[in-house]
Order: sequence, then structure tokens, then C-alpha cells
Amino acid sequence: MHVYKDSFFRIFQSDIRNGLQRLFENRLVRMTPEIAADLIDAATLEKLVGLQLVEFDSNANEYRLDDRVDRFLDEMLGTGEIAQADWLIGLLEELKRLIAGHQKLSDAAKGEMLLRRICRMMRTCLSRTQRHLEDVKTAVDYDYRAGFDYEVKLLRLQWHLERARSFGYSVRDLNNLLRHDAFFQIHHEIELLSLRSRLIQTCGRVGDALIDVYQGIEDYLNRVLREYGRARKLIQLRGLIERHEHLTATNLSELASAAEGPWFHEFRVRTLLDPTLIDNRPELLQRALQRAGIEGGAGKSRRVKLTQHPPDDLPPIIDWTNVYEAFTRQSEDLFAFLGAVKVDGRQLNEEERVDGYCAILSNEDWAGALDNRPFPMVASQAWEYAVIKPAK
Amino acid sequence: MLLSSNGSSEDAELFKLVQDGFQACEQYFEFLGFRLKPADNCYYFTASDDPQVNVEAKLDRMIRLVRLLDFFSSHVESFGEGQIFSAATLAARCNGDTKAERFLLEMGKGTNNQERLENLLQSLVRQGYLSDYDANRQEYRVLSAINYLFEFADRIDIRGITTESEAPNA
Repeated sequence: MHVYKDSFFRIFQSDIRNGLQRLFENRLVRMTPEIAADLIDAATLEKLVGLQLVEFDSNANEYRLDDRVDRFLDEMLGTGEIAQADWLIGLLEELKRLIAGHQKLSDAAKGEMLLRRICRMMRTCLSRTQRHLEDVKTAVDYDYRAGFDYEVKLLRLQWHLERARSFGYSVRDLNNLLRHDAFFQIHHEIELLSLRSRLIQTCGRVGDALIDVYQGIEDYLNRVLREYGRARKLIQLRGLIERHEHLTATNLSELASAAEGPWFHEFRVRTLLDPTLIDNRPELLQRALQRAGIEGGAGKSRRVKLTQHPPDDLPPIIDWTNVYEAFTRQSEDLFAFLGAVKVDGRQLNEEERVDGYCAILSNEDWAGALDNRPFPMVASQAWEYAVIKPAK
Repeated sequence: MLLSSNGSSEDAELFKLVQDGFQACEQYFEFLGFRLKPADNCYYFTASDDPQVNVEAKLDRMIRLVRLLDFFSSHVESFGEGQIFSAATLAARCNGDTKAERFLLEMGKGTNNQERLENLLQSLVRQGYLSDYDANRQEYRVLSAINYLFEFADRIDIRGITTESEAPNA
């Protein structure tokens, strides 16, 4: 969460608020009494010391924020501090300054104190480096997802990229310092050694993670650019369509003529029916779908489980407006064919079946096909009958 | 007809299977008369012997596509694959926006904007471009199949407008 410093410091009393904020902002500088006097008045400084928000180190002759206060403010303002992105640079300079100071000192007591401060700095580096990386990642994701304004997004992402890069350089400098500085070759105190090795490991991990962060930011940048370009184009296209200029000003017609896929509704239901029947007789298709238990286009889509049936089990679909053609194709065994026909969802009963068969045979169009009739015919008075064996 | 990589678990599983054996699947469906086409994180079918929809109808569909994408890109933050949005927020944004209301009037069925929007969203769910994310909160997720539509939008050239070079960051 981003907390603005000015609003955050309102949690403190008004008389100490400004002084504490100034000390916090300058906490990386060595705060001698002279510098402190320049920043805040003596009474406020005394009050801060009295409230244990600030402590005076008489040995080092400097003021500094109480450790707990320092940590608390760091945590509360952590994300805000990312904006400055140079805390590590400041810490690194301070560390170098302390190391240089330690090397020049001859007083063992002061040397010990400086060593403690170096360890303290290193601990701060250790705890903040990983946290800073997480904060950068979160801020990048947040700035990519939030908001409509593509230009703001682009600016922020570019800013994150710069910040991540400067952080990477600082981590590299810290790594070099820890690995190659003579100070760390000479001093072999356990705490120092342990901190050094942990920091070196952290630097390696952070370096690897930063590569991912760079790639993530670049990916986001590319996506934002693409989305921005697309949104701009869509707005222009909408304008052209509203002015009816889309045909002359764009390649929409060329694209449309070559377009394919589900959006363009090109699909025909796959059945054993003749494709022309599906194209030209939608009402038949509707009936076929209903018969198969599949509703037409309306309604919520659902998955249909397909099971394999032997072909004989599938009831034939007949074009009732052209019965003759449908039946002449069944010349081999018309009566058996009629046995499988379904009308309004039910099979024909025996009487309907015989009636149907006779009606077909007596159809004028059928006359030409009589020569191929599969059943023996018997003539009696004015009627001609087909002799049909009962169905098994 | 559309298979998204971020669809339901069943779809995601199927997507993986198709991705792993794309060539075999392509051959299999080719035999059945379907062409399996890959797009960005999704697959779709086209068919060679399907009736040629006349160009006018296709152009209408293309215009509908542009208007649909424009509507969502304008009213849903970062509209794209994987994005989750709330129908209530979208409806609130459309209220008072004459262009959005006109779009809904032309594209959605219903008596009021809320209903039209709901019908439009449900239609996109049925077609496989969106999925219901949280039915109680009326939240929808944009499926990868939307990339199939975005590809068309990307291929549209506007004549007379010089496109700025947008070289990706290397």
C-alpha cells in the first residue's frame, strides 16, 4: 500500500511532527548535533529524545532514530520509499564511508563501534533488499492492471523499469563491495562473515529475480502498447463505421470476404443428409435436430454425448415435401424402410405402414419404377396389391 | 467450436491434449471435413464444404465484431484474455453513455439496458468467448477465444493513417 509521508506523519503530535519527518528523511546522513540543530530546534530535539523516538549516541556524537521507530517508519512508508529508489545507494555510500573510517581508525574501542554499525547496515541491507524486490514486483503488477489511461500506464511502467535497473546496479555494487573489498578479507568476525555470505547469496537471488522483473515489465510494456494501439484503432473504426466510410477507408470488405471461423456462422450441422437439404430446407433440419434431442440455435449450449449406433438403428429422415424421391432411393426394401420411419416422434403402426406403402405404389411417379418393385403384385378387380411377408 | 486454454477445467484439459497432439488432431478432423486452426491460446474449427455465407452477411458480422470489441475495450479495464469483470459495474458505466446505450439497443435483446447487456453477455458465454466466473456476483471471465476476434481487429488497416511504429521493447 502506498502511504504518503505527509499524511502519514499526522499520527504524531503537531509539535514534533515536522522535526521527526526531517530526521527520518535525513536518517542516512550522519546526524551530528550541528546538522540536527540546522534541521530542528533544540527544544523539539530534546522532546524527541525524551519520548525515546530519537537517541543520542554520545560515543559517535550523533543523533539517530530509535531502531524500533526507524523500522516502524520504514515498514509504514516502505512502498512510498520505493519511489525514491535510492535507499540502497545511500546505504552503500554509508557502508563505504564506515569501512573507510574503520580503516583509518587507530582507537580499538571506536573501531569496535564502527564494526557494529557496519553489521547493522548490512542487516538493514539484508532485510530491505528482498522486501524492496517484492515491492517492485507488486507495484509493477498493480500499475499494469489498474486504471484506464494507457499513457499513464506506459509512463509508470517505464519508470518502474528505470527503477528496477538502478536497483540492479546498486545490488551489483553491493555484491562487488562484499566480494572484493579488502575490509572483508581482513576481518573474520563470525557475525560479519555470516552477514557477508548471506548478503552475497541474497544479491545473487535478487539479481536473478530482477531479470524476471525486467522481462515482466517489458512484457507488460509491449502488451500495453499493443492494447493502446488496438483501442485507438477501434475508436477510429467506430467513427468510420458511423460515418459509413468503413468500406472506402479500410480493408474491412477484403478481410470479411476471406474471414472464416465460428464468428462468421459458416457451419452446417453434420448429418447424413444431403448438404443442399440443410442449406435450403431449414425446417427439416429443425425437425431432425428435435428428433435427435438437440434443440436449435436458441437456448443455452450444452455438450452432447455422442454414442455410436449401428446404422440400421438410426431412423431415416424424410423430406415430406418430396416423398417420392426419398422413397425411390429405398427401392430395395421399401416396406422395411417404412418400418423404421418416425413421424412426429413415433414409429408408424402396421396399418399406417401398409397404407403408406400402398399410397406410394399407387403414386403416378412410382409407375416408372414398378419394374423394379421388390414385392410380387397381385391384381384383383380394380385394385393391385403388393404381397408382403409379415415383418419378423 | 472454440476451445480456450483458460476455459473450464475440462476445456483446459482438452486444450492441452490438442496442443500436445495438434498434428494428429488436425489430420483426424480434416478427415471429418473440419479444419482445426490454432490461434493465440485457443483453437477453432473451419469447414471447407460449408455454405459460403455471402459477403454482405460477413461484412455485417465484421462490423458487429468491431463494435463489440470497441464497446468492451472502452468500458472494461484492460479487456483481454483472462480479465474478470462485473456485469453490474459494466452496466453502471453504460448508464448515461449514449453511445453505449445505442450499441446495446442495436446489439442486445431486451426491454432495458440491463436486460440487453445481460443477454449480450450470455450470448458471448454461449459462443465461448466469456465464461461465468461468479454467478452470484455476476462476474465474467474473458476466455482466450477472444484472441480469435482480436486477430481480426489487428488485421484491419485504416487507409490514409500512418501507423506509428511500435517496436516491441527488446
